[in-house]
Amino acid sequence: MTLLLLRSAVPGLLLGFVVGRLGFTDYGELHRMLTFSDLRLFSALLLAVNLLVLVFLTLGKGLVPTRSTFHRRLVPGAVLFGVRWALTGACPGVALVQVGQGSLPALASLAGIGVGIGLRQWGRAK
Amino acid sequence: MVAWGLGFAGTATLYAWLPGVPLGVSGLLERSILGSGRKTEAGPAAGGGCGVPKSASAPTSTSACFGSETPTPERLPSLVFGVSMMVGGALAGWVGGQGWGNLRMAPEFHRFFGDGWAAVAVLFGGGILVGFGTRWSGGCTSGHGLSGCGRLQVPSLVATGTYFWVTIPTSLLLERILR
Repeated sequence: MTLLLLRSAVPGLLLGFVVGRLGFTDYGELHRMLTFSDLRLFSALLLAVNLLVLVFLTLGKGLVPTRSTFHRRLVPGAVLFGVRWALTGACPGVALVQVGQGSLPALASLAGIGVGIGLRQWGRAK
Repeated sequence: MVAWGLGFAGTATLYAWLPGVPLGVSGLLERSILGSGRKTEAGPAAGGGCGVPKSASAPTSTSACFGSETPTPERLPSLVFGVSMMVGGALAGWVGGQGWGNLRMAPEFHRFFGDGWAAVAVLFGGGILVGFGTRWSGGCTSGHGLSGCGRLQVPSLVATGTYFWVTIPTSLLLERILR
């Protein structure tokens, strides 16, 4: 159990720290990225993805348990996600990091995320 | 994707690329440690991220806390992961000299949506969209965008392309209409 928790805590700490330090939790930075007035975060994201591609292509099969499949909710969900990203500048993980950084408005985002998840669960259960 | 990134290098300076290294390492660590042994339905979740874990005993990650459509008995690792991200954020804020209890977002946000309850309503309403959308599509920026694209998973590439094609025009519209 301790090992299991450590395996969750270490990547969580690292990802939270890096995301927070790079500026992905800053609405202004994200907005400047999405309006192409500052390409720093785009560049960081692209390098990160390319790094992962290279690692997974060279070492990857053992690190990737399964291949994924399409499902019909993929695109509409991504559209909702895209609208929201422009409005609030936070995804679930980023909202958590924002709260950790002491942003009180992020609590409203986090509460909304909880409601959105609840709505989806409720809709799924019906 | 690699060619796209290399082409992009022409317009970006080296310093701008360097922060991608720790981000990529974080994503790799999340995928390789958290992802081992997991089986999933949607793209990003095949190694963690905002997905749909089917393995009850395996740990979950970023928005598996949020993105899992199928509740698993093992919620503790997800909870620990989420709390750890908050602690990581707190450390980042501390290192960056940010004070806790900041009541304001970035100036751009308040320029678009004002202050007070209107801003809170936008954040809360936007949060509902992201919570619903993340569950619906099975991923978000880290799940689909980072780890899913990093593994060249076609559904993640489609989802990431979709949300960028929606969010960029939306941001440009915000800039043009609400400035």
